[in-house]
Amino acid sequence: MVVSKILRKNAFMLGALLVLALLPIALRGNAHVLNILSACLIWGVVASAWDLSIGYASVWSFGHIAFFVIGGYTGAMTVMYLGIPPEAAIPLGGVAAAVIGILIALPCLRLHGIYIAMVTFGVHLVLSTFILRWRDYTFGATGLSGFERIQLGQYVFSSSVPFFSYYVIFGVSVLLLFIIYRVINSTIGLAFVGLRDSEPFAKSLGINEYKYKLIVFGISAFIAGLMGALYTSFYGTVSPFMLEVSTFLMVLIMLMLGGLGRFPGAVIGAFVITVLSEALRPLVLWRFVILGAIVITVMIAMPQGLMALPQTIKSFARRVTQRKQIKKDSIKTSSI
Amino acid sequence: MAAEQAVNLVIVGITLGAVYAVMALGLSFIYGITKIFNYAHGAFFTWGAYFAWMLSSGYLHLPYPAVVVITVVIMFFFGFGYEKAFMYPLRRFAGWDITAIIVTLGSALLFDNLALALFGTRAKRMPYLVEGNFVVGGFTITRHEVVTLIIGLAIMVLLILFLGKVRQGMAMKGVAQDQTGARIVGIPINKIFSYTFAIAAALAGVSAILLAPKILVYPTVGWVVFIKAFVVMVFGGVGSIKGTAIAAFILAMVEAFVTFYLGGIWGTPIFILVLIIMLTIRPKGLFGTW
Amino acid sequence: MLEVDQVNACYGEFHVLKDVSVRVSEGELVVIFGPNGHGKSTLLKTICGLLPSVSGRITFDGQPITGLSAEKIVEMGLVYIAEDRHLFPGMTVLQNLKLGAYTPHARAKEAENLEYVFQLFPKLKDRLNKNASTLSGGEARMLAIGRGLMSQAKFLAIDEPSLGLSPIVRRDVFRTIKEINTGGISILLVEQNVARIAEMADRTYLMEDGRIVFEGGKDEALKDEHVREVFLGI
Repeated sequence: MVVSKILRKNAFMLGALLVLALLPIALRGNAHVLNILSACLIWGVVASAWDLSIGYASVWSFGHIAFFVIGGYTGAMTVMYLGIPPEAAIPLGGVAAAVIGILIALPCLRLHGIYIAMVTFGVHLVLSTFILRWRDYTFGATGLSGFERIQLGQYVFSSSVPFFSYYVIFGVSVLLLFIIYRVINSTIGLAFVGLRDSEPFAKSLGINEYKYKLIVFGISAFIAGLMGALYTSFYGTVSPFMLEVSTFLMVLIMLMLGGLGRFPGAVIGAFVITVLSEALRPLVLWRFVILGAIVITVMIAMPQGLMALPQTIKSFARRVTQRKQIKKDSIKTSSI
Repeated sequence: MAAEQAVNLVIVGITLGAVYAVMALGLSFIYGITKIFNYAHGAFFTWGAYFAWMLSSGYLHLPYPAVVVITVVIMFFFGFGYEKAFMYPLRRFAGWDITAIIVTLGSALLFDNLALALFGTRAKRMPYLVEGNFVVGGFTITRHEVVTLIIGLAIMVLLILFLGKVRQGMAMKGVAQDQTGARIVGIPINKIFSYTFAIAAALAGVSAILLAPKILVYPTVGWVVFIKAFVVMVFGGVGSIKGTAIAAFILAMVEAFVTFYLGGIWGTPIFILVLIIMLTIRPKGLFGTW
Repeated sequence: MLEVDQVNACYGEFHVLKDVSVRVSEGELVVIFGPNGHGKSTLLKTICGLLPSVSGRITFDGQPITGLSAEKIVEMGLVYIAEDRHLFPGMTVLQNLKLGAYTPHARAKEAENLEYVFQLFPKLKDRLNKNASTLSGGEARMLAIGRGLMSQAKFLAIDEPSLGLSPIVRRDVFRTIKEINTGGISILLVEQNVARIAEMADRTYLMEDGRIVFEGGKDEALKDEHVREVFLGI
């Protein structure tokens, strides 16, 4: 009974998981599509972690791509310079990102919306300058590559071994998404939903907003950093190129398109944008121009994001029928 | 020699301050009046610089006063059209403030990459407004710096007069202070929004013309100026021209000295540091009014 | 002068105004009273173009104004005075009044109207260069009404003018409103409480749950049983 209830309640998510687990077998051999799917998963997790910060804790961080890159560099550099095994380096990337994230958050968390956004975005802009400056360790604009990857028997975790790597990414992503899901549905997560919907009420319950925000922000930075290290290991390279404003905007748009605070909206947003971006690749430089135009058009037409689409349609339809009814009634009464 | 160096740094700081002030005023205008935070404001700067470049050394080689005037006019209509096309349609829905964030970010993506697609990654060089130097008692000042300072100060005076004395300016202030109040007295909000973006874009264009000759022009050049302008806006207080000017001069001066003694890469970090400190001590800024 | 015919309005998904019809003739002072949250403010805002209506017709001076923007309606001389005043807090009293005369129509009469406002509210003249945020509740109410008059109003739609005022100040405000009305400006006023205001009204409406449930002439409201029961507790 309980099992069937859980199954029914999460039918959509479980179905999606099943499809994602089986798809590679159906696609066997198609390396290109497999790697796109891997990218979708990676960005889906990053966007969801980011959403944890913006959509749930209301911490308008614009630093998550910086955390992602910090994780990437940490992963690569600990392997290269400290000889740490690559499996251990990936969570270390998360730890580094979380530590730096919390250091930034400590003075900023009490601030409002755009202020946090701009402080953290400032960190993003500054990061590339520092990477370029310390070229002795970071190899400047060329970035790092050729470091040791995760190896399991004959399989290497790399974009040139797509089938195996897909399942590694799939496993890590499911685990992290589950953690995100648990955080959202924990007391803390529910408290945040309470704060969002009725601040005075939640405050009266004695929610320690600052502490909770710090915890959630730390978790979210950790996941972003870990994914950065995973990404770096997967593609075998990390460079300041990833700090391009366009990358930052793309991931931010993924989570906003999915709908803020509507897990798993950010994952859906990531799939849509990644696939779209891949489809537009032949346009070369015009790709992001078109993407930007699409985002603007979609937001003007559908301001609540993709996850709210059914709800938006329903409430719109209800309003229209209600208004029609009112008009009909008043015509009737006036004709009498 | 140390004295001469110090004086030179002060001069650099002052002219840089004038540019930051002009840029920050535009950002502050939009944020104060429409409550929209325009993440595409850096892209406005970038496009102002590219328009100026196309009109001058890029293609048309027009005389400089014409470049300034035409760029400002183009940017004015650019801002106006941006508001009408991208911001106005959002306002039919409740909760449009969040949507506006995404749309301004999406616009930044669009404009940045449009510049990349059209002009390539190769940085463009802009000529100075006027070539040559003034030599005053042993100190050399470039004419460009003098002109920058004059234009910057003139814009601030004009804006103070506009907001304080001109009816449309007062109406903008009214919208900033109480939007419903403004509607009640018959101020056309939609028009005010459009003109606010238009003026802010024109200001971004001016600061691009003034700053671009000293840095190079490339597709994401606006972001760094944007974040510095934001720090200036916060430091000075949203809506206070006087505060913005003072903040711009202080921060630019600090930047000039820090860059000289510690190296160029510390320019932006010092702004972020100041921002964090300022926000912890006095979030309203020096003279915040709106 | 103002004719509201079968107007419906929604607030989100709530149907707030239900087939509301109200009229105000030239020179009249009409009061709509009723409990809070039953749509009185929504009605005034809908009339003045601050909220959209779903159906129905509103005409002012013989011209349809349904769906017109707020600024066009102000330009025609129909001016809203908000319950929460919506002054410009960072501006002086004089600047607030001057912004009242924003529309081209009002601009032409600015000096004349300013004179009239000072005559009605001599107190404002003493506070001319004070910031609006420093005014007392009564003074702010005066400024809100004065700013409305600056818009060259032919018609004032006043929302709860007595809200948050002491009884003495309240009496002054009501007296001034009557004076403005005697001076030739038609007024539609919304109040929660009928007691004092009904005596000076030419006609009254009672609004409950988004509907007009009572309409009466000069003193009829105070005689009506339902009204007495609801508002006077008799």
